[in-house]
Amino acid sequence: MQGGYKTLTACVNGRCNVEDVIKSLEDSNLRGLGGAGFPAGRKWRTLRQQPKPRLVAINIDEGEPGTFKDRYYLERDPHRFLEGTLIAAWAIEAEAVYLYLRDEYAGCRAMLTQELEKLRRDTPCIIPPIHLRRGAGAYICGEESAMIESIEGKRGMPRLRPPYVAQVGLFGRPTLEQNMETMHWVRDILEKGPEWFTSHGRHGRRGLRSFSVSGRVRKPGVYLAPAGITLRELIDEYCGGMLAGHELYGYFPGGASGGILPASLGDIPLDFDTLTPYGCFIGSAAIVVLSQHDSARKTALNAMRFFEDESCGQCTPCRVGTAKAVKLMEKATWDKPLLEELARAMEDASICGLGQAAPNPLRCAIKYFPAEFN
Amino acid sequence: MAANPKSISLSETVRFTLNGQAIEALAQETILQAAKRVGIEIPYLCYKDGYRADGNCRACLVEIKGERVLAPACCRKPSEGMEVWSDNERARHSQTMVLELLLSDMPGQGKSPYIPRSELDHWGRVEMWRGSVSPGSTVAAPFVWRCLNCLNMTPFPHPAHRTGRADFPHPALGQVIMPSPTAGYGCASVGG
Repeated sequence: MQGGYKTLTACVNGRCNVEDVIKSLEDSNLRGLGGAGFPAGRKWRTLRQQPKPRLVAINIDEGEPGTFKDRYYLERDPHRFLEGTLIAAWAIEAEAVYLYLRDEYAGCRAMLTQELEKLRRDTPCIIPPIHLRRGAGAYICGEESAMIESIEGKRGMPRLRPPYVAQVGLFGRPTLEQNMETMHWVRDILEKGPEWFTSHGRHGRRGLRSFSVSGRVRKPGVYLAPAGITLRELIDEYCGGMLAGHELYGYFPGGASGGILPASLGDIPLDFDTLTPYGCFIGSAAIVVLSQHDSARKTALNAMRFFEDESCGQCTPCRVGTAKAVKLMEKATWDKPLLEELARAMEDASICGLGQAAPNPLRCAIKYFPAEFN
Repeated sequence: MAANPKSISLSETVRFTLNGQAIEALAQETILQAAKRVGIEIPYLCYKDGYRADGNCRACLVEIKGERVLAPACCRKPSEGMEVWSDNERARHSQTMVLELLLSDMPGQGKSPYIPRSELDHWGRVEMWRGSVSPGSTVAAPFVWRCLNCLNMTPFPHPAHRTGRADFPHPALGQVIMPSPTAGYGCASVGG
């Protein structure tokens, strides 16, 4: 337990005030790193205005294809995110903390169980009960409200908003739900100051992002890099360049759901919001690098098959739409106007982000890789 | 015994607009209930009066000004001043696509074989009726019926069925979709 929960103890024992802590988070512009990018400080502030009892739920489902940053930090320094989580629980005066860990991370679960036991036996200060819950391998349970359903013992299906999770969340209580990595940075931001976090960044962007890089690069892995770094900079400076015999062809900037960008857009800043004009999003910053040996069309179909498999089946546009899209994309010729019609309804009419984002790779393949359709 | 209220005070109602029409709704009423009350038709499938609204079928989606995605009319309650559209191009696109997706999975591609008075068939019929009586109107773009498996597109009402057929004319009346003895139902044009 390096760092010894000093910041948490200072908070709990009244040496820090909640307003300063939330202000620091707001000043750091720390955003939800699970993919949605909602400002953490604003979320905490919203929670404080909700009636008690309140709860904290931490999302360690990490199911977005190509994302492995949460596991990376969890395996190396579990107490850092636990301290952040307990500070959050203190700030919103939560009664209990729920950790939702994907079951594929069996090693992490054994380790986390042990570390939680150590923490319980030797608490640095008064802490709320921490419950560790196992996921069961469903992508949809990474969606915040489906995760809550799953923790409640129900089938993991997203809820309709409103009401928002911050108002009616776990067990019907106002709930602060955050991604694990978001909590990982809380301690550093409070100890080093928000300026430390915002001092990083490139191309007009501020902060740090943990990129999970996979695909045709020499050194795949998790890289902590400035927000706004471009793909080419990331590959050259962090990943040791492309694999021998491979040239950059395109990339998924945000896992399976964030879309696909071509090599010609390898110089745009990677961050929240910067990819919106291109029909993509950075999500959990899972970069999958494609080379001339890959096909955007095939990877888009692969992604759509994944969404078809993982659709929870609750709403028509996602359940039937992903299945129909797969059928249409398996054909020798894509009916682009029909696929676009379908994509539009999926984006507009699906209940949650799965169905809304599922058409992104399909649309990008058509938009940015026309040569593959000649 | 509680008496029926003679009048409902203004504070218990909300005023919103649906398709530009000013509507006064009861405080506990959903957009769908208010629409039904004033005679504005919005398709719906998974909702039934008296039961909990789940908002899963997505046939009743409406556009609410200022919201990123469409909202199910069966679950949302109007708020004061809300501007809602159930008949603009965006809402209609999703409504008809949902019906089309569900109908395309029916063995008869457009007619449910399971119950005689299926709601899905009803709304499919309404869509076609809308397309036929007011071609090119803003209320409904002509509804295009097609086989999502073979991609044969059949704009409806098909010219052959334009005249007063009360029954539900499904794509090319069995010419496109035919039962296949080996694989259940498939598309005749691609050998399903």
